Amino acid sequence: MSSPDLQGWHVSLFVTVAILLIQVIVDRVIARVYDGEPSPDSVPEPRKEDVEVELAGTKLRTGVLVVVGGIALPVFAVSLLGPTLADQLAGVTGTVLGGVTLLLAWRTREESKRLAAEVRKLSADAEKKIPPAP
Amino acid sequence: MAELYSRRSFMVGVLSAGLLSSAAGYLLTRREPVTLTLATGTEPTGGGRNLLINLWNNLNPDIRIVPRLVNSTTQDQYAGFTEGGADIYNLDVIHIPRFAAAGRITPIEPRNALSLLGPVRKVCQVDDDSGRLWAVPFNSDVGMLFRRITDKSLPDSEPELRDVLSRERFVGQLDTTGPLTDEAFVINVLEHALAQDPLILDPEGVLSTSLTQWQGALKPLAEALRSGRVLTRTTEAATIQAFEEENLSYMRNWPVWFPGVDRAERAEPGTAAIRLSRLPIGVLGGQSLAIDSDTPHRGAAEEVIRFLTDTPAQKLLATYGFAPTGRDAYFDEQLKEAEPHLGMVRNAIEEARPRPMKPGYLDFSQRFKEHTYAYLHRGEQLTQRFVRDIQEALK
Repeated sequence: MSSPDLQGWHVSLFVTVAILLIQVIVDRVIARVYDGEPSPDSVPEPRKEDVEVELAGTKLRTGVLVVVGGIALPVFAVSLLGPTLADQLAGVTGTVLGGVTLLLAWRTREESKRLAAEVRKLSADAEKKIPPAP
Repeated sequence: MAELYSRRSFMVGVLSAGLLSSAAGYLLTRREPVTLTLATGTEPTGGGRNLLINLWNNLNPDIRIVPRLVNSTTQDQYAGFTEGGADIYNLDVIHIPRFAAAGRITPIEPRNALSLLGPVRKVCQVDDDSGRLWAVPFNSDVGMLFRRITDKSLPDSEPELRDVLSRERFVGQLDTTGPLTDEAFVINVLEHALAQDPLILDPEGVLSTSLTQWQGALKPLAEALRSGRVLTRTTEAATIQAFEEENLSYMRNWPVWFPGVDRAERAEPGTAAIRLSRLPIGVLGGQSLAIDSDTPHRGAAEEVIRFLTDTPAQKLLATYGFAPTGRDAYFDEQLKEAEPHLGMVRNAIEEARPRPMKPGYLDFSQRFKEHTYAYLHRGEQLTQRFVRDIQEALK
């Protein structure tokens, strides 16, 4: 590295933050652009199979987020003790990102619980709609 | 809901990739900053070695070299270097055996050992056929004869050291006033002895123990000193000063001084050129870098030593007048063009003799100086005691 205190692992961390910030900004702009557009008249009824697929994806995502957050939080918390300003800055950034990851994991788990309840509801509805045997 | 789901997936992807790669980078590639102390003598010959150290520090902020300058003499260099502690020592060749015997330095696996000039490698290598070195040569050195050319149209006779003793206008470090200048005196006397009798010190650094041989080898120098044909000075700088101020024709000095002497003399109206020639047989000098046995940063110290002693570093040092330690630097065409005398320096090193490479060298040096100084300057005869003393010191 040519910069005296900057190390490789700082760069990927700062690039991650930059991508997330850009994503938030683009999201806001898109939301503002579509703000005046009318919403669709009717939302189609969710199908049980689709919700089950979504539930599986959410569970997988929760697992990934827990693993990533579980690794990142202690590693970057330790790097806060680094001797240079770049180390400390990267340590703070990494710790915050680790926290955000665990927060996302918790929220995704909440969503999993909601989807699981929906699946159960759709199953019950489906059973009710089946006509009794003659 | 579909839109929210997609945004969160993107965030999960970015966070996973970013955090995992950063964590892996932190755990696998992160280096703790290291500061290495380099114990070294002062460098009166210009900034070549300091420039290399600064270059390393600028290119490698994680491993910084901090030189610790030790103002020491040959006699107290061991104490001076080891007292304050250091990770790397810049040792004169004669100190390597003592540091090794005391367990203060640890062997190094060299990268370009095959390129090292034979005598240079011999004084540094470990005696176990492993190819390892106690210290990696930083720069080499060998005494040379400087001569002033006043008229380029006249034939240049290129006399040998023993010839210039019979002429006036020669100066060398043939006086000493204390421990700071004793070693230069010892080397100069050995060179004059070798000019008369090549067997007085063999290629393994073993000295003759024949009194008559020593008397014969030193007699021409003693006569030249008594007749006043030869000027004596204590230091290299004082020798150069005498050479310049008294417009002398010949001077014995190290090649590292050549660029400075040549530059200064070019401005003199009475000087057409300064040229170098070899002594019949020179005495090998030079510095080598060794790693302290107790350093906690051995890997970093090896990296630093490889950088400071590799061929590019040798070429850079050669432009400052230092004699390279490896053949590769001498084969460089551009360098040969810029420093035409390098080929001669290389030949002089190839045939140079090492001083006795024994832990008791310092004791030998002291006794040798006392006897030869008394003989050369006070006219006291060399006796059997001289031979006994040097044998005893080198046991």
